[in-house]
Amino acid sequence: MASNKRTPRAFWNELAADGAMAWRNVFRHTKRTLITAGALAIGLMSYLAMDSLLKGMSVDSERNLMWYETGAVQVIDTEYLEERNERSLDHLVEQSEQVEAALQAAGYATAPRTVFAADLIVFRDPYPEDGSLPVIAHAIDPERDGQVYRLSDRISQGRYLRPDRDEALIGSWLAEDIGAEPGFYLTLVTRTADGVFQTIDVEIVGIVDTPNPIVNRAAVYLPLQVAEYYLETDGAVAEIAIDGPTGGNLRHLKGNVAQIVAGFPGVTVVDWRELAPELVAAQQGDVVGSVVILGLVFIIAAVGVGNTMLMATMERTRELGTLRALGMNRWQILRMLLLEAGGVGLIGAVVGLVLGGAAVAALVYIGIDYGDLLRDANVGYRMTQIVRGAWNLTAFAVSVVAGVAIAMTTALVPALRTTRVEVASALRDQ
Amino acid sequence: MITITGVQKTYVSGETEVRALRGVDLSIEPGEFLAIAGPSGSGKSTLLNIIGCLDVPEAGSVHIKGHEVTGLAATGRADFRRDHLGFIFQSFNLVPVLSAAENVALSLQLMGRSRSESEQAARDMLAAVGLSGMEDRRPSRLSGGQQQRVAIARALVKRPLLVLADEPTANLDSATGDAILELMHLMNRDNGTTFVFSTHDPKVMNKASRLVQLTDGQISEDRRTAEAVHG
Repeated sequence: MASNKRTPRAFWNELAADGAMAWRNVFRHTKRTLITAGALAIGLMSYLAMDSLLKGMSVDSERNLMWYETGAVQVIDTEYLEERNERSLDHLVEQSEQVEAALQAAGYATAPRTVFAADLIVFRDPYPEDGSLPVIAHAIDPERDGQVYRLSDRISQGRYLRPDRDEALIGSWLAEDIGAEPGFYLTLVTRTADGVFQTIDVEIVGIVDTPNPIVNRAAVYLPLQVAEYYLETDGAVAEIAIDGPTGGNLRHLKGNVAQIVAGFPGVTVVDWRELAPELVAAQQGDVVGSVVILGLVFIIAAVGVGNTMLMATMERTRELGTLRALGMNRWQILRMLLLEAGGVGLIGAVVGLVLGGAAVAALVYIGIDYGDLLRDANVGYRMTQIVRGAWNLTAFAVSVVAGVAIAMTTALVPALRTTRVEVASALRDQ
Repeated sequence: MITITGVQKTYVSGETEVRALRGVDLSIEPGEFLAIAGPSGSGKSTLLNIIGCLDVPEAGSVHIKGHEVTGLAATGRADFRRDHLGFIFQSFNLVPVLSAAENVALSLQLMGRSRSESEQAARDMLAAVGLSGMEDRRPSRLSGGQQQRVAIARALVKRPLLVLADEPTANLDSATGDAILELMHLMNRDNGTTFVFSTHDPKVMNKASRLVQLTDGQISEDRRTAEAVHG
């Protein structure tokens, strides 16, 4: 007698009725809905803004690292990576010319560098005062460095390096700290490849101001040929950098380079992730940060939507009993209440998207000026002063899905509670 | 058509047991306009709830058109109510966010009919109960009598086997109550729809074609009324 088998059309008609009623109920208490959706929207906006900022920091840092510090991948001595932080000359690529020739023959642009630790010594007149401080010196080939790095585009004072001259570029913050200007001389005290103390006197010809704080804070650049002479490296270099796309997957590039250099003993290929593990750790922290924020949004939504739905179901007990008397079963009531909560979630998500979009646009196009905060703090990110956001369409999609899903999930408990009430007692409710 | 055999129901309230029905036997024929009367607490609403598949008895059975509905699971009972039963409540119980036409159409949409088909049938039914021109009003903009007419239209629009009305005139003034009862009677006569309603109002009892008197959960009287003799 009871028609248990429903045609698909009947099901959709019934679902449409459910959905229409749920949508009406969303606006039954407009103020309550707006407050709940508003809380959800603010939560999602915060998530989108924070995600954008973290992503922007991540993307910018990755680019600034590759353009000014590491390139995409590097060919190095197999033991260099472990002792890289000491910046000694113990593990150099001996056959650097042959390695570079092989890579160039395969169409790759390369830039050799030798990075070494040194003490920078300056004396009163022309400097404001005597002093010394540790720096990271980079011996670069002025003619080929630009094939991988963007240093030459960032000369804020003076000029770029010329080969075979005893001259140097220094980072802008370092220059400010010691009161250096182009034309001043400085002294680097370091050790040669054989471990003998060596002093290098060079003229500062330019100041580099990059978006990479590591460069600005403590970098000194001098021509590779000059460094070779003073450091007695005999043509060996510490790193052969290869350019690659920012933000891309470097596995293919790294694999190809590894194949090309496979015939050279004692060398290996590493990508920027291995060269800057502190940045990778910071990026992974971003993911945790996003999840934490999404968790906070969840709590806000859970409290807001849960409370709204609890009130909605409690004050409508008799009405829901009537609907069940008319033939809606428990699952249909549950579906209707969840659709209603989903409606509140959808409004919150849409408003959150609009507000979040505006916040992200402001972060992308204006950014946040951290002033000198990033100058003194080394947090793993390669960025200076203004931190900009980045568009992340996935986060926007996640927001909509999360807004609706969170609202529906938190409505589940009060909705289930309602469906457990017997029809007869629901109809008696005052 | 409806056979009720040995139905018993007990409610527990705290430590008190209330035996609402103590073995009720009743047969209702198609087309009857039957009143279940009795004072408060006599078991009228409980009996209506059990006939209407809104509640289940501890003992006994209810057969409607040869099917034992007391044995159905909750979903089966919901389907049965949806497809075969109409309800009219004392407090009208219309859905406040829906218009009069939408409230009536809802009964058909839950059966799987399309929105347009349901709304057309709802408008026709509202015209039949005297509410032409009020189809788009929400319940808050209708009087009590008008709301109960909408409830009657909602109950009848799906052409049910049986309409159950729990004190349908109790929340209405006397004149409106008479009019509502007259409308139900008209629908019973013209369409042959079976009506079973509860009341404790002697004036309403007199309109019924058959009167079943409940006292302390048992049928104390079951008789044809003057209305049936003359009607």
